[in-house]
Amino acid sequence: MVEHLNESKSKDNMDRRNFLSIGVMASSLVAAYGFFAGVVLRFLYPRGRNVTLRPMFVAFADKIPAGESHSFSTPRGEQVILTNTGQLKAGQGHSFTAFSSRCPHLGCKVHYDGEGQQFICPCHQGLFDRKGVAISGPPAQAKQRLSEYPVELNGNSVYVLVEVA
Amino acid sequence: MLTQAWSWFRTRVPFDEELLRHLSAEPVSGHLKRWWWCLGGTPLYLFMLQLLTGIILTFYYVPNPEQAYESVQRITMDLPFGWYLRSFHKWSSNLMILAVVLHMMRVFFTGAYRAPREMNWIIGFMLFGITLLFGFTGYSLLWEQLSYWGITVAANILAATPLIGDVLANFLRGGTEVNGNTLTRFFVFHIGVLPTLMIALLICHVYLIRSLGVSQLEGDRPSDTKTFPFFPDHFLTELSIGAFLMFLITCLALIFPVGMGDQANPLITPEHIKPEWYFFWAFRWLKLMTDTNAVITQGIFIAFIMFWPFIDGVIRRRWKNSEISMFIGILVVLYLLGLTVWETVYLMH
Repeated sequence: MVEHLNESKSKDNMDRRNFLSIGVMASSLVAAYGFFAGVVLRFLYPRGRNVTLRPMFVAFADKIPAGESHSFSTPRGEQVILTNTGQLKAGQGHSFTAFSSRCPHLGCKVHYDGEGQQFICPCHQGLFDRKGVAISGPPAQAKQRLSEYPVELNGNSVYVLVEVA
Repeated sequence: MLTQAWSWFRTRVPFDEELLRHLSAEPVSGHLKRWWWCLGGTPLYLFMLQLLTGIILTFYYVPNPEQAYESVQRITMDLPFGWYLRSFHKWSSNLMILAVVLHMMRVFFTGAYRAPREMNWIIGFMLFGITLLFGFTGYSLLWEQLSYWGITVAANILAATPLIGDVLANFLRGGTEVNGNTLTRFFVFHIGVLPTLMIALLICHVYLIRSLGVSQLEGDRPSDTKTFPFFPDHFLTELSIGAFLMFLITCLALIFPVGMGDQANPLITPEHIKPEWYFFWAFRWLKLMTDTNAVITQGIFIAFIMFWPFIDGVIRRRWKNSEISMFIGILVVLYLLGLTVWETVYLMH
């Protein structure tokens, strides 16, 4: 660079060597700052789902008779409905189910209707059966279902397996 | 094709291309090829890195006494590359202070502060003060023991200022105690007030450099010195320095990543309380006399350095071309360095 004192680099003296050195410098800088930008984006982008499941105590089984439900929040803030369907599930020895109360259509909050044994979304009249499968309304057209949480019964205590942050 | 696109753009965003070329190709003196004449650009580049990494860290930092410590812990331990970005921010701040000090020494010992550049020395000195305040408010945000007790001690030092001490201390703390108010105002200072002040003063600083020109080396006549255009030559020098700094900071972050101290506890003062290294000199000075005397003498010392160009001007008018500034400069450096080393040695034992 020192030999260029007193003159600006014009296009005329852009020879092959100059072109190569500028190319190497520019691509190194792009690579280095690009890597830094990647680190920054990785830091800023919300973390992916962590699939560590932990049992969370939710309720005593005898407090939720058949046809009743109980809503709670997981540590990550998801709203869940624990329901006693009154019908023993095959191979599980209890009649509890836990579904996210977030409607898969547009995120409204569904509630359990004990008489009809179904979940109702008030926003667009979406209906889900007691297994969480959509049977009517926009979610049924899109063949959606409520996301399910595994339930464990230990004595009289109901645990739901939830994701921890 | 490219020419068409360019003219399309030029029609919509009109500007004087010739003027831009003229402004960016400003001839700068040949001695700016030496790296120690680029020390002013170094803190500027580091400041831009600080703005960038600071904004990024603010995405996760929570300025609330209950959550501040945990949020920093989350950034450091939990989030991808959080340790790197936080270490980067910290090391970059340390290098920025170092670079500003070296830049000031270069300006001082080459007499670049002399007429007509006295005002720019004062602006530069204020920029140095803001840089130190950035450091102080920054490490207070961690809300660890040293942040909490650092603020407590600093506020009590301020309180020792004659006449207005209590007002200053209460203003710093946002009340009579260090609490949530204090953290809020330190946060606002760190990410709002100080950056705004710094950018405003930087614009003045650079404007004065451009309008007065870079100072000549003593003994050189303007016609003697070779010049080269700011763009692209000097710009490339700064670009290389920037790349080197990224490399250096990354190495420092990898070898010495930042950790966490104990969480702030208003009930327990830690046994060894110390500020960051750039306040060691003031901390040692404080231990040598009463608080009020320390505040007064340091105030005089700071004013002395800040207004030195005018004092020097008076001396040089009385005694033609006196070089007493060299001795004064060496004395000041020895004073600051001596106190810093003294405090370091003391803290290591």
